[in-house]
Amino acid sequence: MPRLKFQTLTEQMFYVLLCLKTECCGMDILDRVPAMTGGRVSVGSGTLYNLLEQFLDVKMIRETKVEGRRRSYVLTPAGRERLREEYRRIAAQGEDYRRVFGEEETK
Amino acid sequence: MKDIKREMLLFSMYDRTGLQKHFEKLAAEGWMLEDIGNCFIRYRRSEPRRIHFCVSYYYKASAFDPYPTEEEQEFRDLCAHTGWEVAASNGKLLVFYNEREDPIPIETDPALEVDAIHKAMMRSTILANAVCLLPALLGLWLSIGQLVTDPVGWLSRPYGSFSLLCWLVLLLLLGVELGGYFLWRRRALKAAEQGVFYPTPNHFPLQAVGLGVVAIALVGYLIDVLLQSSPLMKLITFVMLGWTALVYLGVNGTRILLKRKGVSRGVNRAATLAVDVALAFGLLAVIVFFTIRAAGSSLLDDSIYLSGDPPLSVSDLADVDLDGYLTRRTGDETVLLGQYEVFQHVDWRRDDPDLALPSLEYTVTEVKLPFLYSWCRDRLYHEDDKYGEKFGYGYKAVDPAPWGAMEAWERVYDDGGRTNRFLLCYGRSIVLIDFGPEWTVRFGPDWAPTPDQMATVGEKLGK
Repeated sequence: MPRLKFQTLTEQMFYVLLCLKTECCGMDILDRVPAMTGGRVSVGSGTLYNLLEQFLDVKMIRETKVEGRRRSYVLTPAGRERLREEYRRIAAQGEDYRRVFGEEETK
Repeated sequence: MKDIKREMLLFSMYDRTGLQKHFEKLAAEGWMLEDIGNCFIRYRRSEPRRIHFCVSYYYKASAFDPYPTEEEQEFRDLCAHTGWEVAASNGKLLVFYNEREDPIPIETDPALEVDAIHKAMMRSTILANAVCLLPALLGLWLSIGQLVTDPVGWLSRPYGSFSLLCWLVLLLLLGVELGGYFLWRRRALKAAEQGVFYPTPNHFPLQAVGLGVVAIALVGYLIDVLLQSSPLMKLITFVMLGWTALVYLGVNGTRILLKRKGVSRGVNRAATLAVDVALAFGLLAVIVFFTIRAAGSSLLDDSIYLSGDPPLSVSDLADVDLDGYLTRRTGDETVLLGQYEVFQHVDWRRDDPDLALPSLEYTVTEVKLPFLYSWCRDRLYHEDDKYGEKFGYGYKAVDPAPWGAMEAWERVYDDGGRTNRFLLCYGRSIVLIDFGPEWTVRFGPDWAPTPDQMATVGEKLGK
């Protein structure tokens, strides 16, 4: 079954939105995601371009300024809510894991 | 040593796996991608380098854009930030290269990549292929219609075989392109759910073979037109070919020229379309003009006259002087079949009803591929079934031995009356011979070919 759009967020979507807590442009996001995850997650430039376009379409982010060819974006309340839901989902998964394997196993 | 290398573009537009590997291989051999056109790819000699290539799809771009739009440039800037520089582009297709050892790929989400490819494909290749599918189906339907009506004649005419082959190859390539794409997309979407990039299929060999077959058939067809066709057919063929080249060069030339002049996408598209329509209607006008001019002149006689004496003449069968006879010998030949017809009769201006000089008509079909033999025989046997029912005649098997044939039939009326037509099967050739009504007028109502005449026919026409 194909996933409904943004019903669950991929890791890359999650971190792109996370970067947009504060205003930043595409290039900043490309740098921030690997820095934020210790190089574990990177977002390709084509993927980022398409993601930003789709997040704008569903109003999860909004454009804040355009400087030359550099556009900046920031999370909207809807985007913030979606990110929070995703956090809760991931956290619930972590909680379930802890319940099954106990606190020791998570270390 | 040449610094520029060109090769035909035989990859599907969505074949990013094949294109990337190909460009990487050539860069390692010292050929750097420089330009991608609609038909050719151009490379420039460079230091052999192990660099990465990435084929990306920007669906908002157009082949009519004079330069990248602001939005496209933003996309290119993002890619440049991770080391990806544009090597070449053509419309929605962008080819990037990266000199870093282990660069972050441009696409890191397979589902988004499939989506981007689909948007680009639906606005370009799929649309163009779907538009081509209609004339290809129509062309094939017309060719098959003619093949069904007169299969032996159609397959023995170079244009018949050539057009049938071209339509078949075109349909096969379009089918593989369209079917292959949607099949790949289905699999790619499934793989993307698991986070996997699904490789694109490579139709390079099929495209190369298909185009090679059409190119060989075209050369064969042109040689045949030059050697055997009537003046009118030669004229039409070369006008059509020249004009097709002119339409292609005119349309592409206009688009490229306006792009270089910096004309906007909309104006360029409208101007290119106008040139296309004008040239296409121009072609129609030229054909009509030449046809009207040729009317009344010998140009319009599109019979293909073969040189030399016919293999069998009336004088071989009866004691007549050929002076005053007209002989028309026409024919066509392909690698599958050859068919020639001979009509020999007295010029009506010199005809004397009292003399009843006999006429002769025959068609010899030479079957070059043995597996087609029985099919051709059956087609010729049933060729005038429609008239047979109407006029009450049909074929009756006769002894083939006197004809030196393997099988022989005589066409007779239901009441046993003769029509003087015989169908004779030899090893490679099938002969359909008509002795004109003058034979019975001259030699009596019970006239039938004598054993000597039959043997002569077998000797002269049987192969």
